[in-house]
Amino acid sequence: MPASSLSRSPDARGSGIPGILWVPAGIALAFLVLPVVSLLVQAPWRTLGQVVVGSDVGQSLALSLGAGAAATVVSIVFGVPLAWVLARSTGWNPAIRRLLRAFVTVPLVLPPVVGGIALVLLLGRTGLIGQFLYRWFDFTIPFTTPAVIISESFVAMPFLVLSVEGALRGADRRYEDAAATLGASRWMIFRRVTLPLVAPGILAGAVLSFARALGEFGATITFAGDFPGVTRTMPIAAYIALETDPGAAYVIAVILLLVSVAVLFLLRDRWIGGLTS
Amino acid sequence: MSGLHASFTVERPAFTLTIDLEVGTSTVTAVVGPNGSGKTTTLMALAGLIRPTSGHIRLGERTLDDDTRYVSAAHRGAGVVFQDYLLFPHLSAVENVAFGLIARGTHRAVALDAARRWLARLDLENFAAVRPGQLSGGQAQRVALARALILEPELLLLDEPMAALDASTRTEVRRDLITELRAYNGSTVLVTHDPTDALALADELIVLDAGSVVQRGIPAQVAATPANDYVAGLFEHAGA
Repeated sequence: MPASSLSRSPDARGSGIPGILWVPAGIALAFLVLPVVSLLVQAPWRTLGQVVVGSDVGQSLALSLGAGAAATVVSIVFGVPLAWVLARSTGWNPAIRRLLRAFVTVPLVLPPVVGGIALVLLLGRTGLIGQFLYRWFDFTIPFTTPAVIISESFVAMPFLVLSVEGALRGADRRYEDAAATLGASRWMIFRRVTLPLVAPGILAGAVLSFARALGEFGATITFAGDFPGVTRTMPIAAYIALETDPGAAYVIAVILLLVSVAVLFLLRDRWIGGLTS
Repeated sequence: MSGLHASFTVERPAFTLTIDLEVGTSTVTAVVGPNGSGKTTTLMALAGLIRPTSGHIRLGERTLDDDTRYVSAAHRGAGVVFQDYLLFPHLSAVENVAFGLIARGTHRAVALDAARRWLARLDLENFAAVRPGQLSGGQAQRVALARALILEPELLLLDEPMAALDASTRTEVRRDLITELRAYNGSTVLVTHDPTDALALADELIVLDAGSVVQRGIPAQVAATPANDYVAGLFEHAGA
């Protein structure tokens, strides 16, 4: 870059932003940033470690991380093959493919509470499937830790499916051709060629799914309820604590914020990096 | 009967390719033509990556493709060097070369040993652990060649082997490729839009235009007695 560009912008158009737009733009930025700043300023930093170790917060954190990780694994194990079908079913009837995509996208736009109610109606004691589980195996899912994992998977899996599907569409299929001419079976091509090629997409989808699972509140409290140590995840604990022990709620909020920042950091090339290119 | 015997038609909505090829062992046939003439389609059909609409492809005693039989790319065993080489970006050079052996059930350690010997033969032993992104165009081409030849294919297919190289390295890489192709005793089909490559590398030339063969013969002969203006133009600047 020539030295003159420091004092003279090569782009004679400038930013082209009308002066009047600076005010709403500034308000929007403040609106997004100030709540987070308040949280950081007001958080009880000195007692943070104490609260995590010495109260139910630690228990909630462990449950949240465990259930979030489990939901992410569920999303990967079932979501990657579904993404495959969506990306590669190009020979199918377009109407069927659109319908499939709509089904995958619904949990993204559905209010989580509705998702929770739907899960109750499917897996609850009188649900479509749940009634048989109860009748035949005397087994009910709601209000258990598996219910937390199911709720979180329901809201998180679409992120993984769409991320992996995008990666698959972008992957050069000729690498698969090359592998085929070398004698590789479909399974080997999948495992040794395509999967590594779309690994960044899987990772991004997994991080997004984990973040979404960790913050999940509505579907979880509807389908799994609020039982300390069993279904009381961090967001639920924060909501409950706000009435009884605000300090603990702030601590939980800070921890969730830190996790979000970590997610943003992991995905920085994908989201923030797009600005510079 | 040995070598490649192929005669087939590939029909596409706006395009029909009809070609016949007889390529003996230790022989290089170059298919030359402009973009869209059907060169790559020819190669993909020979590799088993697309199926011709009609016709046959035989290699030695084996029928790879006719009305009743179709051998898929994975079982066909044609060695292919793709236009931009398509080395697997997540595998090292030696793992790329060993890929086909491992795919065929060779023990991993044995396959990697054999791959290292191939790299040494092509003066690439110091690049065994390097990812394809770090290789020069000429090195990548040799790795791609090793990846195909390690399986000892009866048929070797080269798609624009020089297109991904810059002009400064082309002469040297072409010379190395000539050496390798001389040492190879199977049948080679090479497609290129560059008549210079065709003249340097091929024993026989097939000129393809708009999906049809317009001329075939020994390269120097084709260049000397072009069948039409298109072929004449092709060799005008080739320095033959």
